[in-house]
Amino acid sequence: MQETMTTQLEELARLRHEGPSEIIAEAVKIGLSKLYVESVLGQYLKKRISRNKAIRLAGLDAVKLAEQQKRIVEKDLAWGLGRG
Amino acid sequence: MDKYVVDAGPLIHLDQIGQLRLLEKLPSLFIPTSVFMEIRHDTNSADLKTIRKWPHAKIVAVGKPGLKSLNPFIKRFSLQRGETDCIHLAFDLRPCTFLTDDLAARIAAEKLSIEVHGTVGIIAYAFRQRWLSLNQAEEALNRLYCQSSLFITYAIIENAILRLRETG
Repeated sequence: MQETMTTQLEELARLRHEGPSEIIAEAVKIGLSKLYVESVLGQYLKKRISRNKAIRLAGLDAVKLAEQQKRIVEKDLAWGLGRG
Repeated sequence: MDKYVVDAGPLIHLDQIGQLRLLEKLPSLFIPTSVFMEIRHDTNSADLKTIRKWPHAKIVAVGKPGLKSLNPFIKRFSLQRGETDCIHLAFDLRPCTFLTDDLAARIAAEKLSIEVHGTVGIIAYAFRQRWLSLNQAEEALNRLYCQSSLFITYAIIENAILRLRETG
């Protein structure tokens, strides 16, 4: 994993003509944003926040995708575990 | 005998988490040539390249004239060649199970009354078959989230792990 990250960092620096520190700053920003959306979706799927609040915080597309994934995985689990 | 048609997604995702062997254990596995070519070109995995040697796997060319009647329907979903071939093949082999992680392919296949499941389902099935212990199945699901390229919300993985624990 460490080697992959180093390689990716070098490749990104080459492609974007930027220094490693600028790329890392951008990566942290994107990573934090993704973690935040993930956390909101988790709260919504566990029914700790309302759908409206989840949409406000994470966006409609992300909420719809999470709902679709939940439905699909429920069906997969029912089949896999022998209840479908 | 149970028949399965597999798309690139489950092959790649299970390979990424070191569980490709789960597909090898299925009794009768069909892989369209287009899917096989896709994974051969797009990955560096040595394991994926051994599929040809699996005893129950068949790599098949898809393109029977009779199946072309499905084309107008499938075109509506803007699928790639691999997914399209999988649906044609699964339709031809009915009853069979189509294994995919592609949402659009899944919806298209379900509309044709084809049974469809994804990588999480395969791990749950492997757990029920005792190919994986509870710990191994939990680890596989966690890795699916952390190590594979499958996009899935962690709360869904957490819920799947809870369901395995209830069953086990």
